[in-house]
Amino acid sequence: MAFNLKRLAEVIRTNATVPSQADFLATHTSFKSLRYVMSGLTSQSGRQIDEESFLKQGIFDKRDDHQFIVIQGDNGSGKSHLIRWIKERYISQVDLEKEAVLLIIRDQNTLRGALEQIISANIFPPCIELGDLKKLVEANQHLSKEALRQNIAVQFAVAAQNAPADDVVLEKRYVKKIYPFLTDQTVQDFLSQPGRAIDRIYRRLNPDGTGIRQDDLEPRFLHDDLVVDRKLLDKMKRDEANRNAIRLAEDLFDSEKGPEVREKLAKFLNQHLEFVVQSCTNLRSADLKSVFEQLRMALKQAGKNITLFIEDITSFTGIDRALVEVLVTEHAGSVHNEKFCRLFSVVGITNDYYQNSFPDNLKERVTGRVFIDDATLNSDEELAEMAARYINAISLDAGELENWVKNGAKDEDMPIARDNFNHSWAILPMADGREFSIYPFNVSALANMYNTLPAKAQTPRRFLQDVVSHTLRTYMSSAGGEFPPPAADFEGEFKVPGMKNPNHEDVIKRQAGQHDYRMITLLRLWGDGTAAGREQDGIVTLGSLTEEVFKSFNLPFIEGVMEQGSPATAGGQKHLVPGLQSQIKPVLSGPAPAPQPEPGQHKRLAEFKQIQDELEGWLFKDRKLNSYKNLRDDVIKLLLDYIDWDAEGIPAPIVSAFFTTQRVSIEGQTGIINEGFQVTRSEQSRAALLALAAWRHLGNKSWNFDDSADYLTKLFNWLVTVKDQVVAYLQSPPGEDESAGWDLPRYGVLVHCYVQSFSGNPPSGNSVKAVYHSIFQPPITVELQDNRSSEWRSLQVRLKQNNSVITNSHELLKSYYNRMQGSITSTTDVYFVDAAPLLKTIEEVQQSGWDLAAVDTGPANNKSDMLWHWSLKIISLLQGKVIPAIKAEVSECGVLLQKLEQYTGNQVSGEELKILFAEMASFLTNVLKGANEAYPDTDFKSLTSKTITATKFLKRRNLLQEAVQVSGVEQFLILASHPMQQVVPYLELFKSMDRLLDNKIEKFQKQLAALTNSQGTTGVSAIIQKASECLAKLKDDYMKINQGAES
Amino acid sequence: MPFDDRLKNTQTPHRVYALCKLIQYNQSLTKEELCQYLQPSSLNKNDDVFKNVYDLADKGELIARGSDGNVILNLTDHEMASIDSFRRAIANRAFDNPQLTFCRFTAWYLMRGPEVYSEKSKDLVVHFDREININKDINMYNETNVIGWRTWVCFLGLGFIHNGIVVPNAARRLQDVLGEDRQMERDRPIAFKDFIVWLNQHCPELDYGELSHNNRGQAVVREQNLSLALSAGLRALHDSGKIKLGYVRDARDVWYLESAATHEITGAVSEIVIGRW
Repeated sequence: MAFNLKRLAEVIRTNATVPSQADFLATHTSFKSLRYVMSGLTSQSGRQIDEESFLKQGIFDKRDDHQFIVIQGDNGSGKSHLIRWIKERYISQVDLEKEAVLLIIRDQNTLRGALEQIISANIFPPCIELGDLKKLVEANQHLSKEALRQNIAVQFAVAAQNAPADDVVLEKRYVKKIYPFLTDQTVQDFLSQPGRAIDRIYRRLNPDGTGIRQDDLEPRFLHDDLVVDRKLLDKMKRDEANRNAIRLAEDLFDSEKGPEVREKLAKFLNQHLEFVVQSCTNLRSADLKSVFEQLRMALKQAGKNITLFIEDITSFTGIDRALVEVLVTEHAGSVHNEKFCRLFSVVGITNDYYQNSFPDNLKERVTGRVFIDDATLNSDEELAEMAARYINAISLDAGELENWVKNGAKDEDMPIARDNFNHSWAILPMADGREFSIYPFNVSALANMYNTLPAKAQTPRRFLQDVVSHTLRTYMSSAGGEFPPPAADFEGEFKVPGMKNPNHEDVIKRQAGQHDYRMITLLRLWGDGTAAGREQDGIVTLGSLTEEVFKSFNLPFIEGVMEQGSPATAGGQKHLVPGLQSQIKPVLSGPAPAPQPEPGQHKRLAEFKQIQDELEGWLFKDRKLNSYKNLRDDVIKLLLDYIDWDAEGIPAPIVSAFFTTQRVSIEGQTGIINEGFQVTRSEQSRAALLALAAWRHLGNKSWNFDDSADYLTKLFNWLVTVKDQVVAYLQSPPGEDESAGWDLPRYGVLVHCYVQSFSGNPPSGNSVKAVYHSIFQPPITVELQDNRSSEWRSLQVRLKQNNSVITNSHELLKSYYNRMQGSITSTTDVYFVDAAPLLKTIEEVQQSGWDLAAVDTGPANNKSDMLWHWSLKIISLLQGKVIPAIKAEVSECGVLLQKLEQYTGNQVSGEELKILFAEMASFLTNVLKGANEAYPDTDFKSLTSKTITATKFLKRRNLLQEAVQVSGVEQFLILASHPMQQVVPYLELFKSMDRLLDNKIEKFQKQLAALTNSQGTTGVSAIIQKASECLAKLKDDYMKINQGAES
Repeated sequence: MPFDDRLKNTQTPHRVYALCKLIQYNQSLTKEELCQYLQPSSLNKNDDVFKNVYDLADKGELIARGSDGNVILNLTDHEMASIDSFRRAIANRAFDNPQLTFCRFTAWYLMRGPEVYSEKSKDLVVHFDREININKDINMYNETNVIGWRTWVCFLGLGFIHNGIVVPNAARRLQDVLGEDRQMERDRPIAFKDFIVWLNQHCPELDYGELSHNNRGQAVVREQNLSLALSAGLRALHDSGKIKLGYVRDARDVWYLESAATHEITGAVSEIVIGRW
C-alpha cells in the first residue's frame, strides 16, 4: 500500500487525540535508557534501566505495595507513550478480576475531560455516588466562554483580597492592588487574549472542541503574561480605571522594577490556582478525595486493588494538589487508611511542574521517579528504528494491525509493509534480524533532519511531526516525482545543512543540469554533504550514496568530485593541513578517516559553516546578512591590494575618501548602507565571499588549507569582474551620472590658474613650465587689491570667502598625480609626480584659453562637500563673471591712460620725460626752495628720491596700453599683474605738481596785484615789475614745458 | 625594478613609468630638470627617491644620456603607448637576464607551491639564500628587496597581493605573451606539450623554462605537473574564455595542473585551444 494522508494522520497525531491501540503498539519503540530513582526528593542518584527491566522491577515486583511513581520529562519526551505502554503490558498480565485499572489519557488535557474519563470508566461499583463529579462536568456549561474567563479573573482577585497579610511571596503594597487590577475590564481582556494566562487556564477547564493539544500550554501565570505594554496603560488611564489598578500596571511596565514584580505576582497568583479552579468549577478538593476514598473502600470490600495511570497530571488543573494527596494516601498506617484498597499509580509530570507546582511536602511521598528526557533518540539507530516503526504502520492498513493485536500483538509477529522494499538502500535491519523499510528516508536523512531541529524541539513528538510527517507529506505532494525538492522548498522546522565543501555545488551544477538543486538537497541530507565520487570494493558512490538512491529519486548518477586515491583521480599535489575532508562522516563505505583537526579548528569550522548558511539564505532567500562586517572589511582590503590604481587612473585621495567601510557595503547587510559601492547578490559574489570566509576561518587568515585552490579560482574570477565595477564607481561621485565625464585634473588646473591670477601672482609668461611649478608652491590666499574695478574686486571677495575650498582643491591637484609606494591609502610625505599627464593637462587648458564655459558645474550646486566638487564650486563662482571683470578693468585702464595723456600726451619720448622729471625736480629744489617757498614733501618724495623714473613710467604705461589692446588670456594675465596699480603713482605726481603750480601762481598773482595797487616808490614798482617779469617768465617756461610735452 | 639586484620599494613600476613618460614628452630635459619635475623640491626634503628611480631606469637601459647632456628614452613609442605595453616591454627585458636576482627569486618563488601562503618576507629570504646558494656578498636578497620584488612581480602579472602575501597567478603574464604572439595557432586544439615548449621560450621564469629549471631550489617537482602559479593562471584564462583547456581520455601525453577538485579542469590536461583577443 502506498503512503496516504489518512493513514499518516491516524498514526502520527498532531492534535490532542490519541492513536488507536493497534497503531500505538505497532509504533512503540522501546525506551532503552530510562533513569530510575527511588525517591521523590533527590534526582542525582538513580540507575539507567530499560523499559522491560523497569516494568519488572519498578512495577510488577512492587505490585502489592502502595506506589506513587512519577514519569518525569519535558513536553513531547514520551511520557504519555511510556505510561500507555506500561498500562498495555500491565493489563495483559494482571488478573482484571482482582485489579481495577484506570488510564486517564490526556485527551484534550482538560479537567473536564479528565473527570469525564473517570466517570465513564467501568471500574466504579454501583454503590459509588458519582453525582458530584457529574455535576462538575455539567457545571459552568451555561456560562459563556467570556463569562468563564471573567470568572477566573474575578476568582483570582478574590483570592488575592482574602490572602493572608503576611504573604511572603509578594509585598503587601502590591497585593492590595491586585483586586482592582484583575477586576478591571481592560486588564481582563488583556489577560484573556489567546495564549495568555486566563485563556490557558480556561482551556484546561473547558475543551474548545477544536481538538488542539493543550498540554503544551501552561495553565498558570508566567512572567511573560504580566508584561504590560504602553497601549494597555494608556487605555486604562483613558478609561479612568481605578488608581491602584493603574499603579500596579505602571509597576509591571516599569523597566527597572517590572521584572521582579512580574515574577512575584505570577508566583503569588499561582498559589491560588487551586482555589480559583475549584471556585470556577464548583468542584472542591474534597469532592475528588471523597470519590476516591469511596472507590477504594468499595474495591477493598470487593477484594480488588486499583492501579491508576495518568498521562498528565495537569489534566487536573485546579485539583491537582488534591489528586496528589489522594495518590499518596497509603492503605495502611491508620485505622482509617486500612479501609482502603491498595493504590498503585503511575503519573506523567513535566520537569517544570514537578519543580514549581508539585507540593514540596508531598515529594517525599513519591516512591519512585523515572526520568525520560534522555531515554530515547540517543543515536541515529534509535531515530531510524522509531521512524521505521511509524513508517511501517503508516504503510499498513489499519485492519491488518488490528488483527495483529487480536492475535496477541507480539512484536516478532508484527506485519511488515514491503511495498518499498525495492529501494533496498532504505531497508533498515533490526537487531533481531527483521528488516523494515524507512523509504523515502535513509538513516542519514533522519539524523540530519533531527539534528537541525532547535535543541528544545529534539523530542520524539517533534521528530515525528517535524521530520517524519513533514517529509512524508512533502513526498506525497511532490509532483512528477520531484522529490526531494530544492532545500528552500523543503525546509520546515529542520534545516538542510550546508555542503561540507560549498565548492562541490559547482560540480553538481555542471554535471546534474536541471536536477542540480534537488541533487544538492539529496546529498546534503541523505548523503554525506559532499559530491565526492568514490569507488571502493567495486562499489561506486557519490556523496556516500549508491546509484540506486539516485534512481529511486529520478536523479542522474553523476561523476561528482573524484577523490584522490581513486583510480579515476587526475592530479595529486600534497595536502597541507587536515581540513574539511576530515569532517566527512561516510554513511556507507567511505574513505579512511582523516587526521583529527587541531584545537581551534572546530571553532573556525563552525564559524565558517555559519557564514556558509547565512550566505545561502542571503542569496536564495533574500535574507539579511548579519555577519557582514568581516566580509565587507576583507573585500575592501582585498580590492585595495589587488587593483593597480595608478594604472586605472584613480588617484589616492579618491580611493581613500570613497573606498571605505562607510561607502562600501554588501547588498542586504543589516548595517547602514550609504551611497557608494555595493557587492550585489549573485552566485559569483557569494562564491567570492565564501572564499574570503574560508580564508579567514578555515585558513585562519591564510590560504594554507585544503581546497584553497578551488576558492582562489572563484575569488580571482570575481576580482577580474568586479575590478571594472569598482573603477567605474570611483570615476565619478557616488550617486551621480557616470557619463558626465569628470576631469578633475583639468578643473584643478583651471582653478589654480585663475586663483593665482586673481591673487595678483599670475603664472609668469603663462608657460606650461611656470604653471606646473607654481602648482607645487604653497597655496596662495586671495586678498583684495586697491585700484581695481568693482567687478574684479567683487570676484576677489568671493574667492577670499572660499579660501578653504581653494586650498582643498589645490591639495587635491597636488596629490592627484603622486605616485605612491605601498598601500594606496597610506599617508606619505614623499611626492613623486607623474609629470607628463599633468603637463599635458596644463597645455590643454592653455590651448583652450582657460575656457571656463565648457565646464558643467551643475553637480557643484548641491550642498555636498565631496572632494569631487571642490574645483567645480570655484569654477562656478568664476563662470560668467571673469569676462565682465576683464571688461571693467580694461575700461578703467582706458580712463587711466586718458588721464595720463592729459599730462604727457601719448607720444612723449623717454628723453622728453626725463627732461620733464628733471625740470620738475629742479623747480622744487632750486626755484621754490631758493625762494623759500614751501611745498608738501610727501607728494613729491618719489620724484626727489628718484623712485619714479621715466624709464619705469614708459614701461608701465606701455603695459597699460597693451592691456587695453590685446585680448584673451594674454590680456587677462596682464590685468592680473595689476598694471594700473603701477601707473597710478605717476598720475598722482602730475596731479600734485599741477596743484602746486596753481597754488603758487595764484598766490603770486595776488601778491602782484596788491603790489601794483600800492602808493610805493619807483624802486618798489621796479621790484614789483621785476618780480612780475620773473613770474611771467616762470609761467612762460612752465607753459613751454607743457606744450613741449604735448607736441 | 627587475634590473637592480638591490631592489628598493621606492622604485615602483609607476614611478619608473612616470620618468619614462616625462622623457618621452620632453626630450630636452637634463637629469636635474627631470628631478625638478618629478620630485619638486618645494614638496620634498630630498631627491633620494628620484635618484633611486633614475638609477633603476638607467641600469635597465631604459634611458640614457645624450651627447648634449639631456636624457633620452630607449623605449619605443609602441612600448610607451600604455601601461600594458610598458609592462610587457619591461617583462621582456627583465626575464631575458637569467643572472638577475629578481628573476631567480621570481622563478624560485613560483615553484614553491602552497608553502608560500604561510611564509613571510624574512622566511623567504632565509630559504632563498639557503636553497639557491647565491654568493652572500653579491646576491643576497633582504626583506626590503623582497617588498620591492613583490610590487614588481605582481605588476608583471605573476600574482596578486593579499594580506601581504603574493598569491601566485600567472594569468596576466600569460595573457600578455599570448596577446603579443603571432606564432601559435589559434582556435584549434594544440598539444599541451607544444604549448609548454612555446611557453618556455617566452616565459623562462615559468615551469620548465630555463630560469625556472635553474632556480627551483628544493621545490618538489613531479614530471609534467605544473606549478600553482601556472595552474591558477591557466584556469583563470580558461574561465574567462580566452583559452580552453581539455583532457582527452587515453591521451598519451597528459599534464597535471595543481589539483582543484571542483573546477571544470580538476587537474589533467592534454590539449589547449588559444582564442583570439
